[in-house]
Amino acid sequence: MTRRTVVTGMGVIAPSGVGVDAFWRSALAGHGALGRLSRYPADGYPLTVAGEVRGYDPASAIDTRVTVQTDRFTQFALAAADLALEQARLSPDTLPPYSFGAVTASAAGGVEFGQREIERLWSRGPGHVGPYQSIAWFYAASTGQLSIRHGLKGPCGVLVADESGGLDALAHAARDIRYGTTAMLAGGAEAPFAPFSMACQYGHGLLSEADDPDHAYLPFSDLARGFTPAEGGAVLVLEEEEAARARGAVPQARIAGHGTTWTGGEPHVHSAEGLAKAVLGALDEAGCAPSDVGVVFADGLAHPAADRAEADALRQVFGPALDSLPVTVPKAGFGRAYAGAAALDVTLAALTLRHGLVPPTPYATGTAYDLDLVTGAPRPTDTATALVLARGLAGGNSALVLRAPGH
Amino acid sequence: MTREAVVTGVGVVAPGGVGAKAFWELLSSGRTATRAITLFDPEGFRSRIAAECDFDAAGVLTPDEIARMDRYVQFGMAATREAVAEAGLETDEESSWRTAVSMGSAVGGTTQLEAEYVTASERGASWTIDHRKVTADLFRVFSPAPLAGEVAGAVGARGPVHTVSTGCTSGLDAIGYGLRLIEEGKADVVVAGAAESPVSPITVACFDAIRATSTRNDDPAHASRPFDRTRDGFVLGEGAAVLVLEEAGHARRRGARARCRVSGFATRGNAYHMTGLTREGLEMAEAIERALRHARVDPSGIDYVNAHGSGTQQNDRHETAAVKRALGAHAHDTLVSSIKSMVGHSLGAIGAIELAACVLAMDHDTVPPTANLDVPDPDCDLDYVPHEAREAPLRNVLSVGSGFGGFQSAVVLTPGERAR
Amino acid sequence: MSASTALSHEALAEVITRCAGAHTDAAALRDTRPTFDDLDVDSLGLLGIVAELEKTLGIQLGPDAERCTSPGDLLALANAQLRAAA
Repeated sequence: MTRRTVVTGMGVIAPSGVGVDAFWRSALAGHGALGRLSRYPADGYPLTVAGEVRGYDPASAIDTRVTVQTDRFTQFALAAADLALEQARLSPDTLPPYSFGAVTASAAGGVEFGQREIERLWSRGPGHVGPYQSIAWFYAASTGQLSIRHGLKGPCGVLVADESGGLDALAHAARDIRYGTTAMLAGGAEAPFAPFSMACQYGHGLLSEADDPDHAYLPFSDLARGFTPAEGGAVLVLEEEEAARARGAVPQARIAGHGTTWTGGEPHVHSAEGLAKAVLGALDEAGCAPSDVGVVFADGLAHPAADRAEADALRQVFGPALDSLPVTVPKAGFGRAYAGAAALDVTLAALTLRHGLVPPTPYATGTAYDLDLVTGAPRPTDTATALVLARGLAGGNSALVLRAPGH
Repeated sequence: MTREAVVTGVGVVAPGGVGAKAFWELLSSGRTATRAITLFDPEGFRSRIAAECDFDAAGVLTPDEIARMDRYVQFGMAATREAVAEAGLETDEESSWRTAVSMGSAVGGTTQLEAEYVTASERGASWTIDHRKVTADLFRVFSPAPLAGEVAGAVGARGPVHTVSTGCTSGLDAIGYGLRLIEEGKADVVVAGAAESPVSPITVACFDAIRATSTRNDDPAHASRPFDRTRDGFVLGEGAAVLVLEEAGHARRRGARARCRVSGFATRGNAYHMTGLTREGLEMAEAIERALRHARVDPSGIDYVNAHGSGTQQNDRHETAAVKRALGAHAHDTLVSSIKSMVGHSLGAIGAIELAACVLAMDHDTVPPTANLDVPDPDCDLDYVPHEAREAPLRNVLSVGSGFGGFQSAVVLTPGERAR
Repeated sequence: MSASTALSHEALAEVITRCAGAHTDAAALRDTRPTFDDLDVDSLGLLGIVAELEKTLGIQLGPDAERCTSPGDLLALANAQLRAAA
């Protein structure tokens, strides 16, 4: 009997809300949280609209001895994990040693911390780089700090990944559980808004250069002009199902299946076949038929060729049933937080299964594609199966099937 | 029926030896490839030595690839081409979806990013950046994810493709994750390995700041001294290694030679400190025990331990304690060595380079030595094969790694044909 | 700050707080004479403190400073070196 993985806790730090309750309320309301980029002076740059976490400083949740040695991306992960453990009512020290691990994904790493230190190196000299650069900038910082903060001596993993890799990280944690680990902290969080980090990204042409937040990120629209990046993310507590139930935890959802393929970056047209294969792989692992799926959390890159490819992939998998299958892109309201985006989408998918409401696609008024895109108000649903899609700029196509507990 | 992963190809780009053959010649001779840094002017830095690759990209990559790829990606591609050629691997429409890539890198494109940063910030004068001064396709360098992507493109892989970045255990972990993809039936072939080119001012300054690297600047050839009492830190290295992992039946059916099996993997966190290690090494011992159990190999069956052996005071003590705890009395009978004495510590890449060394060691029934081990350390009391390679029949081999974040990983290699 | 100026408890407490994130003040350093362990300042934290002092004091404190186990020891070492350099 395969060891099954359930979500027992979710911690969210998003531009649209901190904590699951605020995040969910905002998603149901279709609230748009995009705004003028303020983390650094954005005037004169192609990107001026972003999804920023405002009115909340993740450092406030963390000891100052740790904040001096961490970038904001790690602070988001630490704060999100605290919230997830609280919701799961799980104290890591109640589990046997080595049975609790962590896996995070990140695309940007500690870019703000890193730029500060490299600035010191080049403006003042080698002796001016501080001792924490070596542990704050690198991608493994968040998993390492999570492990230390909570005494997690189980498997520790890190994927460098954008959106698709965020889903892969959750699947990786489920694999660790299949291989014998009892519980995992898993997810992703990003803080990409440092001037140099963003300067690296203007060239790919997928960032929305709109200066009006209401029209910046419009996936599946004929006005689509690229995506709006975001900071923040989510960390989930994943547990082996029987162990979770034995300790009286309330499973929120089950990670039932995952599939991933790679079809290269540009042109996006190749992602149609790759994404369809990923979905079929995920459904197969979940033991589900396409007809079981009641809601799709789409990737929604908001680039015409990419949106076309995604719609085509869904049509390949679902056929005529796609006409009445609710598809939504709630992250249109708060932006794409790179590797953090997937964990945020999975959180919303779990909440959808639990509350029977599909959150709408904010800012959207309609779609240019043959999709039942949920806009305006939340859509009631009684489905037990949600599909979450994500693609990465490096060429990954991933799909995760989430099922209601008991299914 | 358990699916097993055999190694059907090996490719290496290492200091002192590009290509598996040259790499093995260096290792088996006990020569060291550590030298004064030439990749940039290290004047003013505390540690000014490194193990650099004399790599001529023109021999293996097209001009377009050279222009597009950062140095570490070039290493990874060269190692991939060598490994895939040896494996005789060809992918078609159907098999491409069953072919995966699992590559590791700790610091990715920092060398190129730093160079671009220096231009765009006017040598750190400006916090805001003149984005018009950076290369338009710098997004390809921004994260190491394109490493796996480039490798996937080169081998025609369309299955799972990911980049692992667990710091200094990235190479072992990438190959360990590859093993699982095969065991779980997610892929039949995994091109797995790691690449790194960290010899740049910011990375050298990073390790300067925490006194992790050797300052034996007047004697670079003898600077990397794992398990020697006078060791004073690691020597930064660079390079790449790639293994073609293949489901055993898949390899057998197409007549590919199985050089050995990757049969066990585990990783654990020490939950202790981002850079500090305990004296006891309990968590590394746990990773070793788990990997052995995964491989179904008894501790007494390990003929060679390829050590992390970075040459820092704390690491070598920690690791010796861990090996003794995991292997028990057998720890004193088995052979242990650190090739970092010769090729330095290439961060995320070294775990893969060390596994490549293990495959070659098994082929030759020869353990590469620990160079520069002149003065015994009472805390490090195992047989570290000082100075000269030693012939010994090698059946089961263990490779361990330890990295920032507190990560401890172990991989077990066993003979290609399971003893029946 | 010139090389001849003595390092005060106030200045050291400020550097410990800013660089290692361990909140302390001159009175605490003087009265309770904590070790770095007491303050939860680890080896990396101490390296950062020493590097910062070297910059503000304008002298090299050397490897002995990186092995000090308490702010009191570090203060004494720094001031001895400042006197020697004066």
